[in-house]
Amino acid sequence: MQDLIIIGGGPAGLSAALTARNRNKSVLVITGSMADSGLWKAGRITNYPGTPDIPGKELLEQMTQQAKDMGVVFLHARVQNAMPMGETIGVAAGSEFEECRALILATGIAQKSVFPGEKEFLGRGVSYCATCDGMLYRGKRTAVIGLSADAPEEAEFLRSIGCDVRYFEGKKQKFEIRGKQTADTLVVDGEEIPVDAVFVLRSGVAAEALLPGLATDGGHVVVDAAQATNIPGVFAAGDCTGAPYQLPAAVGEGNKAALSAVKYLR
Amino acid sequence: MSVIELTEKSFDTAINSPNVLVDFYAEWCGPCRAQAPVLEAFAERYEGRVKVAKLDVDQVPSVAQRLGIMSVPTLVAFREGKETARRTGVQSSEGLAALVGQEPT
Repeated sequence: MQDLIIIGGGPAGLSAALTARNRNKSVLVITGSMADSGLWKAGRITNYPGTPDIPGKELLEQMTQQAKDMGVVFLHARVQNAMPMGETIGVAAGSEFEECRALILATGIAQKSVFPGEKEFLGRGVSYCATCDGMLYRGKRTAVIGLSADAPEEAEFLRSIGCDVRYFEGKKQKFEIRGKQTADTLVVDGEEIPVDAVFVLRSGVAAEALLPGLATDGGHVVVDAAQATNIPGVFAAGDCTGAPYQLPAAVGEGNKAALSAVKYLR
Repeated sequence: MSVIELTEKSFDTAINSPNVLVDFYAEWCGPCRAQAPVLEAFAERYEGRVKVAKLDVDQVPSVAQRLGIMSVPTLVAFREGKETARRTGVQSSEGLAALVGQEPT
């Protein structure tokens, strides 16, 4: 059981983690690969006080190390969903289940587009999590659509447990998932490939899909001035709450969200 | 009586009731372990109104395959043998109630 779980290891999540550790709370950050963060891809940062003209990648590495040095625990996993359970909040991530007393969403900008057939067959042959569902497809034909930095690793995991894997670079081709009761065909640039499962591995899932009942507006998590969402004990910070999509704003919001979470924990 | 463990033999008879909820799970699945106590509590709270059962997809692959269970946990609601709703991923007590069409208590 953690005091605080933070979903997302970008600047908003890490800033929140630092502040919460400063207030002596136990903190778990659940995140994918650093290379999926907007900051990693940002090139050179010229508007962050104290670090003139630094590569975004370098700054993110420093922030992550700083958090580790302060005792923040990291779990590299894909979050499937979170759910309030009375006194605590449960978070299912990969093949783990973690519990906390307060939760901060710092999931970054949600990717809006889905492939034709993806939603229809979700849980019926379409999966977002290789480590969660891979075991069900041992000896079967699977396709991986890789859209996140760690997707090749997850594909390797599927191979290691005995799945037959075909890997597709997600950004380069057009995909459609077809089937009857369950998904049975992946169409790649017009070519039909028979499959038993399609793993769509994105860097993040929309926050509203993680937490049923979470209030959102135009795909952004609705928060008040204290970064609180409509669900008690759940806060949000950074790009997932909307514009400005800026590093200094994300860091500030992460700080506020952590202070609010600490207050809630008292 | 709380949560019933289903087998290949008992499955079809078990779902042939007015209000049934089945948790399709696997031993190796962490979120499934988290679902178990929630399901137990749900079964007690709705005793007499909802029949609550679980099925290990590794032990009974034939049923899991027939139902197209491709993710664990998957929670499926049945009425008189017919599937009425399903959700994948761990569900809260409220989520389970919504699935079987009961008011949360």
